[in-house]
Amino acid sequence: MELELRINGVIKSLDVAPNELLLNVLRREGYYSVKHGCDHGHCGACTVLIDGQPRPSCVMLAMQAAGATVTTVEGLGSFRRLHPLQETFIDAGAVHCGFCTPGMLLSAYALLQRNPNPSEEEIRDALAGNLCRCTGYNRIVQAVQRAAALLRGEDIEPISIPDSGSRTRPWDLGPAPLEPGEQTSEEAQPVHAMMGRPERQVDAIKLVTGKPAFADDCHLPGLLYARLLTSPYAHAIIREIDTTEARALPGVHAVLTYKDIPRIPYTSAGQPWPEPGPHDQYCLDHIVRYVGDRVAVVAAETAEIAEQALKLIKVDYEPLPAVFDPRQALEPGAPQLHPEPESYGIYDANRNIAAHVQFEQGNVERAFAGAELIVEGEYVLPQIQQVALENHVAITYWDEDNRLVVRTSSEAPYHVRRLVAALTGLAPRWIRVIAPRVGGGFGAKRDLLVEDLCALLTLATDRPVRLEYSRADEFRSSRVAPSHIIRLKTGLRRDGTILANQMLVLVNAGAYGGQAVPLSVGSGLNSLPLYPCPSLRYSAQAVYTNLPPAGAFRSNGAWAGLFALESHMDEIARRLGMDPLTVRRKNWLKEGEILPFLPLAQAAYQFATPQAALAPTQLAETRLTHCGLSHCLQVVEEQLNWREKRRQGQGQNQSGRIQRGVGIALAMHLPIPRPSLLSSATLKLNEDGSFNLLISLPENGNGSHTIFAQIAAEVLGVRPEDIFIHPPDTDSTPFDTSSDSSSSLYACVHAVRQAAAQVRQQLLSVAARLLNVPAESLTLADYVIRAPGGQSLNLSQLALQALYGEQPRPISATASWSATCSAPTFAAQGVEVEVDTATGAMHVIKVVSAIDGGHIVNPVLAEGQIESGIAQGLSYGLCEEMVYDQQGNPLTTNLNDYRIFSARDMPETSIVLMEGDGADPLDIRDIGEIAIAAAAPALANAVADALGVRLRQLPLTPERVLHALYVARQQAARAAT
Amino acid sequence: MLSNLLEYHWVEDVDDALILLSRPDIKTVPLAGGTYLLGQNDEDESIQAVVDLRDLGLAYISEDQRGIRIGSMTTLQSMAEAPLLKSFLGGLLAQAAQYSAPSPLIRNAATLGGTLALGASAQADLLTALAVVDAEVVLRSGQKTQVDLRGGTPERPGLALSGVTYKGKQERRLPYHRLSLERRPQELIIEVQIAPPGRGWGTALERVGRSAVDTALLTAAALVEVENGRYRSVRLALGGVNMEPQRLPTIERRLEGQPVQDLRLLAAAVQAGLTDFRPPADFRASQGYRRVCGANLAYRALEEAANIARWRDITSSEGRA
Ligand SMILES: Cc1cc2nc3c(=O)[nH]c(=O)nc-3n(C[C@H](O)[C@@H](O)[C@H](O)COP(=O)(O)OP(=O)(O)OC[C@H]3O[C@@H](n4cnc5c(N)ncnc54)[C@H](O)[C@@H]3O)c2cc1C
Ligand code: FES
Ligand code: FES
Repeated sequence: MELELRINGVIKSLDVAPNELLLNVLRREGYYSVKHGCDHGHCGACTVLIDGQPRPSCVMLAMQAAGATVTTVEGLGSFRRLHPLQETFIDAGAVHCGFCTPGMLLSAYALLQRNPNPSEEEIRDALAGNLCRCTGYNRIVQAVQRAAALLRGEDIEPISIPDSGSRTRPWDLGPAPLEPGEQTSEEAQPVHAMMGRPERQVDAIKLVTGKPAFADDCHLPGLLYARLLTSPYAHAIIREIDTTEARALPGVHAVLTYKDIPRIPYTSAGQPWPEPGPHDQYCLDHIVRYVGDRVAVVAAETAEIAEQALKLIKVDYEPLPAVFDPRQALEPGAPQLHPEPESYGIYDANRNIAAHVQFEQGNVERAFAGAELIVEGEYVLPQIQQVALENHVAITYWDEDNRLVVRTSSEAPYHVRRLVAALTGLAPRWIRVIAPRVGGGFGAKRDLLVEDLCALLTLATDRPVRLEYSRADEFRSSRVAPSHIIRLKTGLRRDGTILANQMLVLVNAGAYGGQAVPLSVGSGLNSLPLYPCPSLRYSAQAVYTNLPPAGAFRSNGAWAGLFALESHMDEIARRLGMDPLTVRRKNWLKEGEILPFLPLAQAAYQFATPQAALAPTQLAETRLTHCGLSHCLQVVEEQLNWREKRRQGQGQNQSGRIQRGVGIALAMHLPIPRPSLLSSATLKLNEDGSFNLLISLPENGNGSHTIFAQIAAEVLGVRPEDIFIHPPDTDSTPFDTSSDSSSSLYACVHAVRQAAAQVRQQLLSVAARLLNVPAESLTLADYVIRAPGGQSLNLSQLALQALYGEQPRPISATASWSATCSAPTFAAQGVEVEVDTATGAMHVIKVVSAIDGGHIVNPVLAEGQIESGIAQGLSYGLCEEMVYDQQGNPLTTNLNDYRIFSARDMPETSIVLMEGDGADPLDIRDIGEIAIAAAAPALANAVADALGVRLRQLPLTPERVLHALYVARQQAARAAT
Repeated sequence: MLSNLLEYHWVEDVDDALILLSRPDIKTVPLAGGTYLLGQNDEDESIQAVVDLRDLGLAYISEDQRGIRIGSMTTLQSMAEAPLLKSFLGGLLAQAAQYSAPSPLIRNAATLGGTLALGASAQADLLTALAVVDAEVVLRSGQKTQVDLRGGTPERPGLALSGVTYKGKQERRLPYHRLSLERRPQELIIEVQIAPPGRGWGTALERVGRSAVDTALLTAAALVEVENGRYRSVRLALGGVNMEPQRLPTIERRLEGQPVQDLRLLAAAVQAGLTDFRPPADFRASQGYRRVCGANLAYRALEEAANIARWRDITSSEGRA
């Protein structure tokens, strides 16, 4: 049917099928700012304005927009003239991965059109349909408030440092050739140190203007659409699979099943080679091990035909017994998930143990026997989903040289190339992986989920193929943050001194154990060292079950370990009748102490298969040189008004319907040290004095590219916007093991710094020749190289001389960094909460967070990361949980049933960044992963303070709260009689 | 997506819509906001044609002596914002429309008619509110006489309706609580009418969700009329996700005629009357939770509605005096 649409003021005549969604039509027409996030109207990524009103274009037929005006972000402002909202979003640090940004901007725009002076509540309500997983919303709200003020003609103080507009500055070639010693005339632009400054994100403009920055933002002629057929059974053998009818459907180009490809054991976890832990997956297999497991994949002319073809595939399943609880999976006679002999690296396939990590120091049993008080507790964490707003997507095609190009939303491009090579049989040199901006990852985009199948389909059809997960696929067939059962036992003296601590962890690894080793290490490594004591025991098992495979979620289970430990510390305090802060202060880690576990973690990786009992004591010990815990806790204690609030809480005022409480938790984050961590960076000078920076760490919204630009700019005496960062491309950007985002960021920072230092050296030596002075006497700052005698050269003249002058030479360098890991990050977090005792519903009033995160390169980005962690921590603390029926069918497969925090849920936050004393500029640590861990235990502690009841299971749903209150009242009544 | 959709119709006349909807050979459904038709998990593959109701002029909120009339194409957002609904019944319906879809994006699209047509699958707080205001729903269908429409209608000869037999139109009203049971598949929802309350009324709406923007695990709506310090009429409904809103007549009857200020009596009535309440269990909440919480919310809603009603009764009788 013909349809006339007025899009951004331009009338377009389009040929549209009656059932085409407005979202698909707009993207097909090149309006890539309109994003696909959920298919159901739940996320707001696809927001457009219809006659000025924001609506989700994914639940709207294009025909419904007939006669209406349609506005997308492309129509809001351009990079030459940004709309005030686009300006303030960048300025306030409201753009992280940028996937939600166009939708947010449009909702905000519509609000300000009808209400120029909205209250904070009105802003939050207007944004409530636009989900963001990367920010904590507060910066977005702030950005809207600031834009409203600007539009009302008020002045506002800038938050971050705008770029200097170098993109529009003309290039002055200057006199040529330059005589040695001649002075340049151009006035240099003032540049100060670039580190520690709230520089604007270097890639924000393209995001607020909706440019095609993401993997799916492109269209290739002849593109085929792929869809995945997944298992309806939690455990089954495929007796027979018949694809005849599906293949015969017009428009279908390929159908692949296990019969069409070799059976190669691998792990989808994007980790350095050789991957630690089990190789227990097969690209397509004749056994399915969870509901959602891969069965077949189809490529067809349209997504609808592909979907239809899936229904024509006839599969004869022989259901097998399934197991979902790791405790049952360990029992003798339990269904075995990986009896196949081809799989390797499994710790104990007979007992379903994917990985097992154990650590012991001192004599734990004797210490328990001598303790004056033993406190025990079991803590349960649910399986949750990372919920990056952008779904997994890959597009594969043959390029003009007959090489396979994989364009993917992956955080680990080199691992994708290695794994795709292994699974397709193509040598890596025939594969090129391009990883543009990632629309949020949080751990789920480190696994190879779509790239291999997409590549196999291109091999089978010789056509470009696109395989994108739907939101339901994300819930059913992606990676999850696993459920944990954690048991703690602590032996103490009456004065509160911890004598022995034991943590036993059961991780539900799901059907495949790709991340089983890091997950077994992570929860202990990032919690128990907080309170070192003479006797420590840690044992973790990652156990197979017939559920989706476990992956990382902003750390490998640190959040689980910390929820258990920090709840337990409050329980200890209660049993001792002490203040929870006092117990912590008495026992916590101090500078100069040895970090337990570190050797163990290293060992777990060194012996890729942790079969052998490890001997951690033989490995090097690490002493803590710096620890900001005490400072952090003090800040939180004061800002939360702890003493006063604690007196009011304690469930004392039991008669009131609304109860308030405060809670505190500590956290540490130590990126898991990997022996084979390597990052590299290439930097080269352009003729106008700008630079290209080539790195293979994709930007996922954590601001890493801005940090790299700031670091290079600092060394090279230029502004960050003159460092142009190339998206990762295995053909051109240098090697990177990009595994754990935190440790990779750390390694990459150093690689960039070194490359910049080498380029700087080259610049100075060319300048020295031109100016005829020793290189050591020169300085480089503000785009100008100066000699002691007053001569100077600006960078662009130097570039021309270096490239075209006498003895021409390119100015470029590649440097790499291979290191253990950064120093640990510490944090304290406080939460104030209000609980409705009639419903069990909760309202978080305030969160205070203090982070000891080393040298902060960019405070706006750093605070944004922490706020985002708080949002995620509170979100899984309160409402996130993946639920299955008794057959292992997921019941939470959309963002309505599975709730994440929205703008309306987010409380007031106060964030304090501690830089310590004269922080070493090289002391750059991970801060992205710590904030997520402390929020939930602080919340549980606050609830215990409010109600006098301890909840040991997350999330703290209204039902769990009400139930706990009921049980407590019953017990109290029984005790009274 | 509606994968087998072949036709898309815009109509400017309700009769045209009814004609299209009554075609026996091509499954045709009304399209309002589309949020459900296009957003549901399991798409309806049998749908071959939709009739877009946008241009029928059914998006209105008006008031006359008989009360409030809300057109079926009124969006939830218009209901939430309309000054008329913000004051009518203490804003009960405006508030319920706002709660019904916490996302303003959905509220801008989803309509009253779509919500009513879906019933429990709409997961809407609005339905619980409608249950206590004794709303009436106006429906229209083609039923009475048979007309051969090969070649179109006299007014619209262009309409491609070969082979269609149209059975004339009929309008009827249904009390809201009978809608989901009695509405015939081809019946179009035209509008909702709500009579104004008597003197001395009060309303309240209470809900609980897992987060601020969650669908309601449970919603309680109350409309109470008070005269001389006693309950004259009590209407209480509980609803929530996956539930048809349920009135609780035992509680209502027990309270009517009783003094408003006796909270122990209120608690006893709620306890006794809640035996009628058999909410479902799902992964969000158990039946036990919904029952306990339902009692608490019902108590609270009644208490609040009664307080407002009592105050209004006192001030209005002062006015009369
Ligand atoms: C993410 C999301 C969350 C939502 N959350 C909620 C929520 O919490 N609460 C809530 O109330 N709603 C919610 N909704 C809206 C929900 O889809 C429906 O309740 C919505 O109200 C339907 O309205 P619509 O106008 O979009 O209907 P449509 O999708 O257009 O139609 C729905 C059904 O009603 C029929 N229909 C529509 N109008 C009429 C009419 N006048 N006469 C007869 N039949 C008609 C259609 O044929 C169709 O069968 C949500 C929607 C989405 C996408
Ligand atoms: S709301 Fe449309 S894609 Fe999520
Ligand atoms: S910035 Fe909002 S989802 Fe990433």
